[in-house]
Amino acid sequence: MSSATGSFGGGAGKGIRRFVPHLFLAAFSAVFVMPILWLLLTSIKSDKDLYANPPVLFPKQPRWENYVDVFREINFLGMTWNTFFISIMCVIGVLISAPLVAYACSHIDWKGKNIIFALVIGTLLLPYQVTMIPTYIIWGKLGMIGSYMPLILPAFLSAGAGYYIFLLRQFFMTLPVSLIHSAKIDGASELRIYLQILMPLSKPIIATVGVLLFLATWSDFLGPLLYLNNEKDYTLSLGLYAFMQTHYIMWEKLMAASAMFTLPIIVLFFFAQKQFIEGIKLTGIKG
Amino acid sequence: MKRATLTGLLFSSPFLIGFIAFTLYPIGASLVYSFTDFNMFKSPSWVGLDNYRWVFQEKDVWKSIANTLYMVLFATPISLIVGLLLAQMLNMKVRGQSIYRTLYYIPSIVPAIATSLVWMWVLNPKSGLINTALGYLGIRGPNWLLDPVWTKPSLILMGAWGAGGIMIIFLASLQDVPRSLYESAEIDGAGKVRKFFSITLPSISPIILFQLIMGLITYFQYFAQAFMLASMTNSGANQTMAGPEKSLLFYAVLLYREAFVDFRMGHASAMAWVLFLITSIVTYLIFRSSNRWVTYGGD
Amino acid sequence: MNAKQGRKASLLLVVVTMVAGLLSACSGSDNGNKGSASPSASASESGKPAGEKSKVSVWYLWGGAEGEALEQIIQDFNASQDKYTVEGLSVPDEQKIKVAIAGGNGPDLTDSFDWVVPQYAQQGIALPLDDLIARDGYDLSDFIPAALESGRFDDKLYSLPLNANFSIMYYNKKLLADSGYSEPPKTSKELYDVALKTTKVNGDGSIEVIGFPSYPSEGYLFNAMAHGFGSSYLSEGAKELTFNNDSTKAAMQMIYDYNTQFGVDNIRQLQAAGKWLDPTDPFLTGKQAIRFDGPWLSAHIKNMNIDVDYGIAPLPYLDGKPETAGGGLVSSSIFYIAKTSKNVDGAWEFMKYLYSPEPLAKFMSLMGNIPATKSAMAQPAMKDMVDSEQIMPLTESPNLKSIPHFAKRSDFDKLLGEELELMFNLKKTPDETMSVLEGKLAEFLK
Repeated sequence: MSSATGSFGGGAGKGIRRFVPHLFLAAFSAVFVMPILWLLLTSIKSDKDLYANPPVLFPKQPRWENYVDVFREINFLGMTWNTFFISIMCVIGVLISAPLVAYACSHIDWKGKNIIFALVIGTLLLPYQVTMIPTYIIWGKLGMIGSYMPLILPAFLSAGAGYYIFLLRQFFMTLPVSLIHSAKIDGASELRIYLQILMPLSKPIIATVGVLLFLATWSDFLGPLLYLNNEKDYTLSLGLYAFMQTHYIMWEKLMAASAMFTLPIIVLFFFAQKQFIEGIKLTGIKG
Repeated sequence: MKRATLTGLLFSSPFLIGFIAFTLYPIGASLVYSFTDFNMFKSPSWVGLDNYRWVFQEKDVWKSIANTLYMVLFATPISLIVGLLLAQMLNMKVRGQSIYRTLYYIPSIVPAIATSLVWMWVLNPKSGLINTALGYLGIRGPNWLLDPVWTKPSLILMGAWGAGGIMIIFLASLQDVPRSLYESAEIDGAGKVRKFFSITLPSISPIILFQLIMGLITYFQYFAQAFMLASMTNSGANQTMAGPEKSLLFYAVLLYREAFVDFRMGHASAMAWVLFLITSIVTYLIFRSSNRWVTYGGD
Repeated sequence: MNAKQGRKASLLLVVVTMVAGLLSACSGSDNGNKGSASPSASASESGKPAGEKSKVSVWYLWGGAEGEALEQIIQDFNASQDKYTVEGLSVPDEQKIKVAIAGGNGPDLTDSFDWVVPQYAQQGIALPLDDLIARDGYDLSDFIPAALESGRFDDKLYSLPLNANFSIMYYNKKLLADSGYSEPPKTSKELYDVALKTTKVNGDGSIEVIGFPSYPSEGYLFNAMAHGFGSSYLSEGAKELTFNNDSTKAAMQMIYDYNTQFGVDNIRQLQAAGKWLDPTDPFLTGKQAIRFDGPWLSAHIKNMNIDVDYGIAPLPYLDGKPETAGGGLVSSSIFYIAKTSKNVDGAWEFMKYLYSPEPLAKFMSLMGNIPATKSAMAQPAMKDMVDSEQIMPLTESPNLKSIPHFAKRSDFDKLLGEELELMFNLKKTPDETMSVLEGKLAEFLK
């Protein structure tokens, strides 16, 4: 893809100039990567290496069993499934409900078009603290605290998805109006236009929203903190936090668990990054 | 036109239901709670403006505002700058960019709990990465997590480390700046720095505005990292969640504590509304000022 | 299949997933059959159809070996009778427990510490036990009076004390011997001398060995030290503030002097270097000469197989006041029934079992705690507790005190902690701190 080059050198320069950008990038990435490197190194250390004084960087005898131990001592498998389940359900929920309202705010010509969009933006600016307590009480009255409902149902109503609605709507606005108009002239209903024209064209943005939302839900902490009580239901974020709170900090296992917690995300990003950079570009955010 | 209205409503219906149930009603309810004395057991009793009086008089509230402002004023620009600089670097035509991009992005998606744990070590005063490195330079590093002066800078470091998300958005917008603008500048003899300030920055200024506002809003509501850090640097049954000399008592943390530890929901609701007010005012002011420095594309 | 069919199929798939998802979301914790086995389910009851026994949920703050100790008691209880099945759950986060109880989704029975009783009573989190006690004619005389009182607020009894714990002095024999001490310090003056001599400082000022009991924190040791010196914070019934006395002042001054001498930064650095009761704990790595902590430290040392040559002694008394020897502040862990419990009878039955002499002794000896009933203390199981021969005699001292309850106890503790923290950080002198505290603490007694 052709990209506008940044204003630092780069490109096919000659000789030393070629290495300078690499140097910068490598140096900075070392800084960024160091903590993660340590996370990985610690995850294979044994007790002795962990508490060695002076501290050792590399384990003398790597202990890969730590990763196995994690499955035994923390309900890692269960929590992974819980986290995955909640994240996927939220993605499905938002991907069903958000494009609908985004479409209503972009290509349906009706009175509420801009009002609704203003409401969407409004939800972005509202601090969650304002609604946190009454929402908690509502769920309490419905007797659903301790279940996954408070974490999943709102997604199906696009509650808290203002940012994604925004992205979708901006994207839809960049689609050629003529396409939609000619379909209308041909007598297509809004639903048909939505399903058969809009959706296929929106694959990139849908992918972007899906990925971003999955990432956000995967790491969510406050939601599970408030609504999940039974350890069996915990997500990874909450589970690791709860585990850390007990007296014995098994750093090596905690790091191993963290590594496994983060790995799927890294893989997801590596394969999807082109996709969602494209997606963000296409929304023409600058508009 | 009536049919269009119906369709519009239909398409918006999931959102509208959610909006009424999870935004509108809770807003109303929390406003009412803010005028009552309410813990989850007893039914609320009206106390008028008492809660608001408490918000403006309570020392802990002012301390939490000061702490929060600290983060807002320092962490926001630092995260933006780091994100922008990284995006610049990653925009260069260098091989292996996708690997670099992943490397810089990963820290921002490491879940908060893992980040907090890792940084607890990195910032360990005795054997942590940073102080050991400083030691080689002959500098005695501070007690990052126990010294009240250094706890917030520790959080800022963590925030800068996680600037990958911001970086990606800047990267996308950088790639959207038309080459022609740069080319004509080069013809005019503009150097790298000049190009950056005269072309790049103005072109992406809408994104900067957007990120600035989102960043401010995020830091006004700063919770998870501070919450974890405060509970980790304590032993035993300490439930103040405030950190050394209350240096980690942020507004959102105090609000959570009032609501879910001390069960003073009236106080917490009043705090939430004050936060809303402050956030709205600041956002509005920034929007107003944006006329002067934001240029929209297509000019 | 063509695009249209493909789309229909995936739509169907999505709908099915959605419905399945929503259904299982409703059932919440019932889908927890993946992965972990519930430790207390009585698999041996093969003859009984599930659901005949009424369920009692007990959430507890302990984890690790201590949690397992409680689980053992739970298993014993489940095996001993037919009416109830107790399910234990380790929930180390007290916030969670409070919020769950408040929302009506909490456990039937849970544990905490005695200082929360006024707060939980007022917030309506704990259920008063008086009716149950009267109904069953439960005998309270077996409890140590001071410990039992800790559950009383506003003339109602909200909890029963599990233990009567107080800090004692642990000391590292080798570190003391290396500095010429064959005996642990007995008075406050001796304590300070030992602390000074055994503290080893590196070239850059950082502390290699800390002689003072400042780990895990000065806040942790303060109440113990002050009461060890003979202080009493409040008069009986919390009528008056007696905080300002020679003992308290001596404790404050001593900490202040030590921190001034060795530098707050250096001490903080050492405090950050390890986690309490972890193998990185300075006392456990031989880097702390003197430590004030509860008897559970012995159990931890043994459970973790730590090799440290330590001794136990009563807390030092104020120099010149030998009549205050053997002093200390007694506090208890408690169990209370949640106000929103759905199985109060079951919770109460388990409580009675837990507090009967044998189970209580078994539980407490495993945890390294001193039980709060006289008959449990006399049980043979207590001999199994690590270091019991040295610890049990210390319980008989008449100078052990507890802090009486009053409504604003948590605010009191909070303010005390905050002001003391400023003093520990050398931001205020002991005199300044005392005058602030004298003025403000009294306010909370009203």
